[in-house]
Amino acid sequence: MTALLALAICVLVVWALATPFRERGGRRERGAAEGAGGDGAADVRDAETRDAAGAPAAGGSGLRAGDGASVPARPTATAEGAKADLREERERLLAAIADLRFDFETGKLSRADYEAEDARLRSQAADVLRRLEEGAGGVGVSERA
Amino acid sequence: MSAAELVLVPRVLLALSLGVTVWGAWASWRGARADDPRWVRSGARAVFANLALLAAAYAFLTWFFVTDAFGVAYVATNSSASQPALYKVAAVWGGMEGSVLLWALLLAGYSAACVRLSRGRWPHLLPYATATLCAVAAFFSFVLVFLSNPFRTFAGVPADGAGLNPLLQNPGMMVHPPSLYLGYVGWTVPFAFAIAALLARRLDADWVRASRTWAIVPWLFLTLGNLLGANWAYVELGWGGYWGWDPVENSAILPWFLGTAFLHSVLIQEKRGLLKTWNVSLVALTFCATILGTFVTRSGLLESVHTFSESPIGPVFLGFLAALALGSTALVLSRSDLLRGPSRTEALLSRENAFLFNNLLLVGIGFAIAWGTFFPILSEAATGQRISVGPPFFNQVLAPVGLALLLLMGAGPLFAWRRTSPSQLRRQFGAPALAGALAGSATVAAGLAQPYAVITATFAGFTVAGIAQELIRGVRARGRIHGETPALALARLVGRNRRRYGGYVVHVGVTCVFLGLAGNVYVESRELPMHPGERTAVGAYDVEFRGIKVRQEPHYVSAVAELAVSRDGGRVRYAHPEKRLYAAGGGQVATEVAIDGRLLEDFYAILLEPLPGGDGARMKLVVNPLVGLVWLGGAIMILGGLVSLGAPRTGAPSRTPARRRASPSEETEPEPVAVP
Repeated sequence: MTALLALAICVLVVWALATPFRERGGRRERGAAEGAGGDGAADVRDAETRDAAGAPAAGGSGLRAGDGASVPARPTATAEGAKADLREERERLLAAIADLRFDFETGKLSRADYEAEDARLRSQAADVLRRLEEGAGGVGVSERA
Repeated sequence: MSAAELVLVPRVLLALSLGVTVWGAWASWRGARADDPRWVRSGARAVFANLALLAAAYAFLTWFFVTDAFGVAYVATNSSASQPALYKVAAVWGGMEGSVLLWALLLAGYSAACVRLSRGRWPHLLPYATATLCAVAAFFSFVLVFLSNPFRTFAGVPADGAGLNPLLQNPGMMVHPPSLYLGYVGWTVPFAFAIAALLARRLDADWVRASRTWAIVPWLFLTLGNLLGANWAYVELGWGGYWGWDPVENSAILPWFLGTAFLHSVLIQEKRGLLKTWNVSLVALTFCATILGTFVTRSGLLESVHTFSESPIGPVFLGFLAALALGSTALVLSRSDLLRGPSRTEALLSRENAFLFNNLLLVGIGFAIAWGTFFPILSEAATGQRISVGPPFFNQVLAPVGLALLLLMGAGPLFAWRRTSPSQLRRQFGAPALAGALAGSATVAAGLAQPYAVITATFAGFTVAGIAQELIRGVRARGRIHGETPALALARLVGRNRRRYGGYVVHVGVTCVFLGLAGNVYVESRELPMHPGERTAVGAYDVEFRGIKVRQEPHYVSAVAELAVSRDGGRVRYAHPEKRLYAAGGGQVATEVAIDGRLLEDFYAILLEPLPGGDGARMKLVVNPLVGLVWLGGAIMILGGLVSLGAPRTGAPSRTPARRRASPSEETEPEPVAVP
């Protein structure tokens, strides 16, 4: 009886692990509907959303357009990798500008220091946004107020 | 069906767990390398399968304990028929094999939660992280199957078991080991994300964001576990204190310090892109410290009050630890080109630098603890003579560093990111410094002139006032920027910056703990033989020894003393310290202290030994000032951690418009940013 029970558990486990290989559709088709912890839940994200997420970050070339699958990056220095760096820098600068304002409002910065630092950060952010737009056809426009 | 027959099933479950985790590691790795989601999906399924298998195995073991299945060797060694039911359940992790099973089960739970909750968020990291989690899980399953199997059986079934170690028969033991293990095991997840980032060559701040929550959770449990451990030592070990710098205590607090450093330093990477190498190294170090803690607890290498179950798996853990350390180091070195970032901060007076110094102090404390803990082994290797450094070393080295940390904890939030205007320093530091000076003066005025106490009170006043100032000014700033009422501004300030303000709550808790520790310099203690009717005084307490009785319980016989205690001639309270002799465990003796806890001090009585003749006892009477602040501070720290834990998740949830998504800094005030 116990041996049968143990055997049944073995079969169940093997069945669970092998299921992804038996399901219809090849690796390309399945990709769009899976996250790494997939188990069937769809996670279809358009390119803009993934751009905003900063998911394909430095060195990444593994993600295909419209795929959205849990595909890892390849260690190649591509334009996509550089773009990812820029996106991260953009996010960091925008956050830094907001932090700076808050630090000024809470009395940690003099007005002169605040204005100088704010101008510097905004200039850097503008440069990053410009480079992103040139290279990515408008990515980052949404952050413009 | 007998336990001897049934035991085949959990044995198969453990063997399957080993197979499944090996498969999970391989499939996730292959899926990640070969761009093949089928393998990735199979790897993720292995994580869930492992959780189901180990949960079932754990349920079997619990069942064997509850039903007194003494045919199972582990049950017979750690339980007895007369043991209370709750302690039968706790006994599951009371020994070596069960605690490894608990570890493996908790790791399986963390892994499944990570894979499930991170679904679709970090697709470039998660397969590698899954592979790492499975590889670590495979190690524990290997230990369970081949070295520490809790389902071994006896040839004959003994009539009764040996019983759980009496020291472990304490209500705190129901919670302390699991919370400490949840703290230890949880660091596997941030470690897995760091390794994933290194393997995937994606060393931007994504792995830091992915592991943010997964670092706070184990930090919370380590805090709780250490707190409960200290409380257990206080009420159960009966030596009068709560922290004795025991090797196992040190091994539990070591990852707490390193993990705390990590929680601070990752902010710098998120904000500034700095400290990439430091952060991956620090999380690897923290994880290694958790394995080291397990190794120390279970190897019996160092003498400890915790050596409940020494076993031969120590060397295997040491090998695993060495492999982790070498592998992580090699991986970090091989990615050194990708780990380069901005090399320095912009100004000395900046929050980044405060965080950097904070990290140096925290890691420095960690190394000092490790040095003191392992010095006996190092000295034996070098000189052939084992030299223990003991509490004086830790107190002398760590007290000044701890005070510096307390001061820095107060000063850090007063600095701005990037640079602070020197002209604003007086405005920032004026009120907190005044509050600190007042607190120090009040301490002296109260007759507590010990330098350590005065400095602690001064720094504590400075820190708490600084936090209050931050909160008040933050509310005012929001009011100015957004036109909100103070109540609304406070709610939104904290609600939208939970990590920052949760951190401040933790700081208040730490300050409270420091004040509690400062109470140690005013401990008063007396050790003396006492007979019925004799009186003595300890501090402000008058103590009368009323007598001693012998009480027979089902599992032990106890000598109970009765003391009538009054403070400053006030109302008399009665304390009943005990000395117990347990039938199980070869007649093990345990001390049950009596504690008369008050707001600012505890009266603590220990029955050291009954005197010949039977009517008297050798007593130790202690007045422990401010101990309650240690427990209160710990509770506040946990509350702060819970506040931080509620910080919004980042990482690209599906279909979230770019403009609404949280920025990498959740500590950002929500205002529109116009860029020229």
